[in-house]
This record gives sequence, structure tokens and C-alpha cells, in this order.
Amino acid sequence: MIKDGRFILDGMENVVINIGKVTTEEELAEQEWEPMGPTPKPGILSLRNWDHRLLKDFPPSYAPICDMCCLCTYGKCDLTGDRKGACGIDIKAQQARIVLIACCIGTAAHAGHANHVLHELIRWHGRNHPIDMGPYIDVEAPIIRTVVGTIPKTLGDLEDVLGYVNQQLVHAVSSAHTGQEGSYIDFESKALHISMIDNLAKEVADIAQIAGFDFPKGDPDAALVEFGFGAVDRTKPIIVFIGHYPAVSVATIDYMEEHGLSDKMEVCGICCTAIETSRYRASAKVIGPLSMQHFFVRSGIADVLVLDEQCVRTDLLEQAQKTGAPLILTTDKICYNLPDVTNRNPDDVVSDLLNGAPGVLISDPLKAAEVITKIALEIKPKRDNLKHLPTEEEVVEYAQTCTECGWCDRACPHSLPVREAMVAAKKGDLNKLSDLFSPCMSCGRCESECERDIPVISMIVKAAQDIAFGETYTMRAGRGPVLDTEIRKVGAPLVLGEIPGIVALVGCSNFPNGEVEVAKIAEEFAKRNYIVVATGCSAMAMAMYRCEDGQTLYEKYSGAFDAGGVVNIGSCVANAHIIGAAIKVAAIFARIPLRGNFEEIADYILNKVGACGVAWGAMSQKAASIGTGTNRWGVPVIVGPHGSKYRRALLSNKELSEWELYDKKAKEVVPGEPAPEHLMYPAETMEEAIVAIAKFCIRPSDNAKGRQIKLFNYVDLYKKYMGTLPPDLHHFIRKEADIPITMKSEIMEHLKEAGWAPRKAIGDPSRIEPAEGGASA
Amino acid sequence: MRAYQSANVPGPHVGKVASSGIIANAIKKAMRPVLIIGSDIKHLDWMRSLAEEMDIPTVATAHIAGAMRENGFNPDRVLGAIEITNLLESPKWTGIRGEGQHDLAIFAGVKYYLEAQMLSALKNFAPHITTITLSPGYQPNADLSIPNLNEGEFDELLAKVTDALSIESFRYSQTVNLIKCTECGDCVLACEKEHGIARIRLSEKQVPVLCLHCLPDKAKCAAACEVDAIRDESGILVVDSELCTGCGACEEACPAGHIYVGSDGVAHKCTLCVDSERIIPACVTACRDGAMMYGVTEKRKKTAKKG
Repeated sequence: MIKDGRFILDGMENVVINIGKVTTEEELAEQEWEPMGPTPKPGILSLRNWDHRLLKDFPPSYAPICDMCCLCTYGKCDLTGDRKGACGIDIKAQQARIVLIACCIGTAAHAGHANHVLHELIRWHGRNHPIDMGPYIDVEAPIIRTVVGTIPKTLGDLEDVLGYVNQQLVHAVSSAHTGQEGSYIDFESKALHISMIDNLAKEVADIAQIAGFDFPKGDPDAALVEFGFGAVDRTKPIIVFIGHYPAVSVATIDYMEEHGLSDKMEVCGICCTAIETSRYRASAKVIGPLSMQHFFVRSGIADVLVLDEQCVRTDLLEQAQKTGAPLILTTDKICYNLPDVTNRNPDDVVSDLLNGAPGVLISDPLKAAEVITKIALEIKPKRDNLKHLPTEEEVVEYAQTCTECGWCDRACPHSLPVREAMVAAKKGDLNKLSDLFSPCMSCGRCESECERDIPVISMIVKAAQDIAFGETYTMRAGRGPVLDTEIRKVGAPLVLGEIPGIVALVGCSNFPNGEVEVAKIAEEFAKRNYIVVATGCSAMAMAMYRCEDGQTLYEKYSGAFDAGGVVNIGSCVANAHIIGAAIKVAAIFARIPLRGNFEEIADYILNKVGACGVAWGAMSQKAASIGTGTNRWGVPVIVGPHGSKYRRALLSNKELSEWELYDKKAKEVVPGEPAPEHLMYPAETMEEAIVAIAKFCIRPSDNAKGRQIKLFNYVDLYKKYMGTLPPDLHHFIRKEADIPITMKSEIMEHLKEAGWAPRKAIGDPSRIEPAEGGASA
Repeated sequence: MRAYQSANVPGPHVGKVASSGIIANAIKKAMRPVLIIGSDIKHLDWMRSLAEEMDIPTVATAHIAGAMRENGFNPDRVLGAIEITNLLESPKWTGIRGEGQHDLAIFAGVKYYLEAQMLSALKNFAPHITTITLSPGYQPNADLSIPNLNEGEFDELLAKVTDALSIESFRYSQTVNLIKCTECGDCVLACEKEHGIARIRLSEKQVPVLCLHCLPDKAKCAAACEVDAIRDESGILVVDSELCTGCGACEEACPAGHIYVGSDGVAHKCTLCVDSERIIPACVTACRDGAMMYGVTEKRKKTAKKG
């Protein structure tokens, strides 16, 4: 079977002709794995109907954080109320435009990571390096299959996927230029599109990492990694990697192993690089999530700081200089005006750093590894006698310079009581400063505002030293994708509701009360037999918590993707595997073809897979694209109260909306239910979020038994936090058999008051109504 | 005034810092107010008495409903902060009691930055609603906000609001800051839109000629009226156009040159919109330079506080 156009090459063996790629036998075989669906490599317009349907059921609700537009020199333009800017844009479209720009930045950060890591791995292993996800994963790249319509077999195949990713980014960013798109709905559609591309880029990045670095391939029993400031052995030279690009930490570990130095040095990480590094070697220590970055650097424990890319504080050069630790930059994303010494002799670079150069940029991970290792060994003895944190007496002295103006409280993004802690510290009581350690995410805005230059962050670390350095925890190393065998086991109970849902804790864990709330959410749902999955900073946040019996969540709960599991999938890019798991439920359990078939898959997930994403401390643009992409696949997302500053929520309104679904079995439009009720929802408190998670896992496909289980959890949690039955309960009861048996009498009473009448369960719920002529609308 | 979180700067349109009198007056004026209580609430007892005494329906956001019930304060509805905001934006919604969309939303205890977002949404997308915040930090997105107060000052302010809510008659005042005024005439236009015929006119120098809001028993216009058409309504003088004969005696008597007989043959004077559904006077809202101010005090003082 030879495709048209290949004949041209016959008889021209001696001539090198580059016309794209020659189709190999394997590729031809691959082309036959499934017939191509309607939307391979979709452009912005290809899935627009799906977006518009989503946005009809969950219309955007905007809360501008700024009433102006300052993006072009027509402006500043005041868009308050019904005003328009000089280009004609109104305030809703402007909010949606900022959402799109945020999602593009987030997608670019993940796609940048993917491009970067893939090219480095191709340099190490070649384009033909195989992608092998182990014996238990046949559907190894569900997002690539669904969106692009290919099965990647080698690293080189992933490069082709990234070509498509990069092209989509160009188009999406382009439409945010002054004077292009003017409709908020279509800005949102583009944001949904590019955020789906974000998810695709993350899958490419993580598959490349698993293949190239030999990370765990979906191992439910991945190792338990030591975690926390206290886990670091301070007698050894300490190297700390910050950010999210594992090539440098992996290369450094390899270099140490080759030179027999592994036992003599500590390799630690903060943020996603920490997760990636511990996926490579479980001996690497994880210090903590993003919120710990500033605290840890201030403590001065690190002998060498290595920055790669993504969630890194931008003032770490200044911070590192305060502690005398050299700073090694390793990617083009962060340059800090430091010299690029990639091509210099590593020993000369080490000598410069020993002689006081504050930092260097080395863009080749293999060269960086040598410098990092050597400088750590050499500088350790010189740093031993340096003091980084103030003494307790000095903390009190600093506090005594405080005039109690209160601007620290006003500068704090979370309005933490900094002044109160200073007032107590003046009298020698450091407990209130210490209490700030957990809820504070060490952003340092208080210090920056202080007219007396009081080093609040250093004072908090000092006051909390027993907690900060005394406690160590454990985190299960990121396991990677969910196994097909696991999906086979949970597919039916998930779709029928008997496993009440998948709760996916992703993104940053900064707000509102630090890491502990993410952990408590995880514990609440693991106890209730939901499948709890986590990635990135949330996966790390969950480690910093002990259950009543003293165990960490990862010690107490299984790492299997099953009811009652607490599963660390991996870093932020690994959260593609969470969407991948939902896709695999459709593919493996329901046998829906994936190839180029986005809309049918997303419709299946939205109506039948009870999953809820939670980005509790979401801060970054990456979190914007992660969440928005998750939405396009049909999974609702809850963000914390700061998430309201993303400017838009996607909310239905059960008081004002008609709830309509299409029953594919009965072939008719039928009354639906608010399940899920919202698609993007900022919750004010953890307790509110917990109740909402239980509610957002309800799906029209639940059978009576499944609905009973989901409603039991919803009602039980609502009663726990609000003290009554949920007032909207009647919306979720189709017939008496849906009512949890132990709650029957009180619920029946509520239903009577609400004027409830039974309704038919929907045979095969869908949001895609066939248009005339049979094509989907 | 700087916002409590000082970077919370929304744009050119910022709300006013309100006195206890202005707040009490707005609450009393509202036809269908709603009280929204958030998770950081620290004055539940005060809020309960406000809701009970003024008969205001309450919404509990987040999970504060549990704590409210423990305090014997049963919220009328439990909704997410973003959900109630979304409902308030919709002109179709008929409110907590089904009596029609609310005209005043009073916020208390929602986390500062979340409340800022809710208020921003209402400012931009719910022109039918006036917003007040009763949390102790200036919120530029609220129409009427508390200034930046410490705990003790905030307690004092709430006590003053309580006093002001219980009195029958306010003392009103209005001023225009002539340095800020650009003589644009927006106040006159807004007044005309609200009342059919503009009650404020511009002077020869193009600045608005305002009513002095004399004490009703001392006002020259009312004293001059032979048919008692200028009546005291809770401290403000309102012309009864049914009774007014258009004789012009009031116009002659007014020391400020404010009240006048219009082309329709009856007298017109400013009422600070107490005789309309507006909670904040139309001219005050219309003035984009923030030059137009009004004051409401609970006590009959000679000089009124500025709003």
C-alpha cells in the first residue's frame, strides 16, 4: 500500500529530496488503528460549536480586576460599564481577551517546557528513541490520539505534535492583538482551544520525560520520597534546583553517579523540578511547593541554587547573594543579566564563582552539571560559618523598630495579621510570627512595603524554625499515567457513580491557608472512597500534613488509581495524565474511538465521568490554561477565592436556566439537571469547596445506586458545614430510588416542601444534538 | 483614599467613602435591599439586628451559614459569593423574596479581595444595584464604602449607623467642589432624566445652583408658600406639584436662587432624589469628576458632614 506521491521518489535513490517526511511501514500500519475522526489537528474554528454549547450552558461571568485596557497606545482606555475603548472593545470582551492572553502564556510555558525537554532528549538519545510506557499501558497518549490523531512511537513523533502546538499558539496569540476579535464568547472559545493545546503540550512533555529519563511508567507503588526542610542533610554540600525543567537536575545526578559523589552531596528541589527529580531518583529530597521557595532560600541552607524555568521568583539573584550561594541559571527563560558561560571551561567558571561572581548562565545541561557539582563541593566549607537568619534576640530588635503602621497587613495578598505578630514579637513573644509560617506563601510584599526595612520573611522562618526544620514528611514520587488495567477496573463504577468521583488537586497551593487546606480536601475525599489524584505543588502540599494517626496521606492511602487512593501523578505537566485517564474511561470502558474525535470524547466526559478539578491556590497563567483546558474536556474546576482574580467564572444558573440535554437513546431533547452545576467556580473557603466538589461530581449518567452514593456524600458534607439539608437537593433527585436510604425520611420531607415530582432518568445523556441531515451540531 | 489593599485600583470610577448617616440613609431608602454575609464576618450580632430591625433578607456565602445558625441568625439563602453576584447581575432575577431584583446589596465579611471582585462585577454589569460594603477597609468598587478603619473605629461606626437607622429625620446637605467642577452640566442632564424637568440649573458662571437644604422649619421657600405645597419629608423639603400654583413666591424667597417655577408652571427644587427610587442622588452618580457631594447626618447640626 503506497500513497500517492511516493512514486515520484522511485528510481531517484541517489537524490536527496526533502518533501516533508517519507511514510514508513510502521506509520502506514498506524494509520489503520482507527478510522480518522472528524477533527484531527483542530484549528480555532474546528471545535467552536462545542465551545459555544459549553458557554451556553455555563455562560462566562466577569469580575474585572481592572476597568481599563493599557495594551496599546490608543490607551489607557476606560472601559467601565458600557464604555468602549478606542479600538471598539467593551469590558466583557476585554476580560475574555485577558483570559485568552493568560491561557496563551500558560500554554506557552508548558509548550516551552515540552519543546525544550524534547529537543534536549533528542540531542541525548536521537529522534528514533522509542516511547515505551510499559506493559500495562496500551493507550499511551490519549490526548495526542484524540486531538492530533496519531500514535507517537518515538521522540521524533512528538516533535511533529509540537509543530502543531506551536502553530496553534501563534494563531491564538494573534487574535489578542488590538482590533481583532471583538466577541467575548469567541475570545473564550479561543481560550478553551489554546488551553486544550496546553493539555496536549503537557502530554508531549511528560511522555518525552518518561521515555527519555526513564521516569516511573504509571507505578502505583512509586517510592516514598523524603520531604521537607528537615529532610536535608546539612552536613553535605546542598544543591537546590528551583523551577520546572528536569534535564539539569537529571544531568547533575548522572554526573555525580559517574564520579562516585552520590553519597557525598544532597540534591534537593523546590516546585515541580523537585517532583521531576524525585521521579528520576527517589534519593533526591523534595523541599516543598512554590510557597516555600522564598522561606527556604532565606534560610541560607542551599550551597548552590540552580534555576531552570517556570514558577521561579524573579528576585532570586538578590536573595542568593544575601546568603553567599552562587546562582546557576540554565535556560533562556531566566537570564537575570548574567553572563552566558556555556562555552567556557567549567573549571574557570567554578573559579569565577568561588571568587565572588554572583552567578552564571549555562544553557547546556551536561556542562551545567559539572559546574554545579564542582562549585557545590568547593563552596560548602566557605559557607559553613555564614549566618543567614537573625537570632531570636535580633528578631525582637527588628520588631521593636516597627511603628505599627499596618501597611504590612494591607500589602499582604491574603491580609494575614503581620502587624499583630510584630506587636507580640516586640515583647519577646514569637509565637504569632511562627503561626504565619503555614498560611504565608512567602511572597514578601510585606517586606517590600515596610518603610523600616523589617525582614519579615526571615523573621517568620526564624520564629518557626522548630516547625520548619524539625518536621519531615514523605511524598510518593510522581507515578506518571494511569494504567489501562486500572481504568478497566474503575470505568464502570465511575460512569455509574458507584465510585463517587475523581477529585483532581492541581496547580499551586498558595491560598488561602497554605498547604494544609489542600491536604484536608484530599483527606476528606480519600476517606469517602473518591479517587484523589494530585499533581504539581498540590501534590507536594498534600505531603506536608499528618493525619490524626500521624501518617502522611501518601503513607496512609494507596497510590493506585482506585477508590480511596491518593495518587501523585507527577509534576504540572503530568496532569495531562489526569485528563488522559478520563479520556481512557471513554476509550477503554465505553469503546468510543479517540482518533481525531474530540467532541464526542469531551461530551462523554462532561456527561458521564464524575470528575472535578481543584486548583485551590491557583495563581499563575499556567493554572489558567490548565483549568480552562480541563473545562474544554468537560471537567468542572473549582479554584480558591483568589481565583476570582482570573476575572471570569463559568457559571450556570439553576434559578434562571432551562436545563436541557439530548438523550441519544430516545433521540429527543429532555429536561436535564445541573450536573455539573458550574464549569469554573471560585469558592470562598475550603469548606465551601469541599461541599461543591461533592456536588460537582454528580453526572446525568449515574445509576440509582451511584446517585445515592454521590448524594449521601453531598448531603453529609453539606450538613457538616452548613448545618442543614442542601436547599437545592431536589434538583438532583430523579426518582425515589436516588435517595440515600439512611436519609430517606428527611429528604422526602424536603422534596415535599420543594414541590418535587419524579422525572425520567436520561438513557444516554449528551450535549450534542444532531443537526438536520445527521451531522453533529 | 487609597484602597485597603492599596494595589486594588480599578480605574477612573471609584466609589465614595460614606459616613454613618449616608449608609443609614441608603439602607432606609432601599426598597429591596439584601445583606450578604461572608466567611470573615466579625460582627454577627450587629448584622442580625440590622437584618431583623430593617427586615432585610440575608445571604450567607461560603460556609458561614453554620456559624450564623449557631448564633440564632438564620440566613434566608446560602449561596456562593460568585453565585449571588451572578444572580444580582441578572435583571430577570426576582430576588430572595421573589419581590423583584434587589436595589441595594450590602456586603459584610466577604474576604477583601473576593469582595472587591464581586463589587467590580456589580459596578460594571449591574447598574440597577447600589452597593455598600460594611467591612472595615475601603473598597473602591463599592458605591458606598467604609474608610480604612481599625477595629475600635469600625465598632464606633457601626454604633453610629445603628443610631442613624433609628431616627426619623435626617439633616441633609449638598455641596459642589468648585475646583473639581468642570462645568460640564452632567448633573443637570442626570437630574432632568430622573425627574423630567431638571431641578438644578447652572448659574451664569456655569456651576450648578444647589439647594441649601435648610432645616424645614427654617426654610424661606416653605415659609413663603401660601398653599403649603412645600412639605417636610423626613428632613427634606419636597414640592407637591398638585398643590403648587406656580405663584413664584418661593423663588423670590430662596436665598440661594435654587427653587424656580418651571415651564410646566410649578416649582421645582432638589430633593436629593428622596422622591425617586434612586438610593444615591442622580447628580452625584453622574458627576464623573467627583465634584458633587451630599451629606446626611443623624443629628441636627449646623454644619453637615461631607459624604
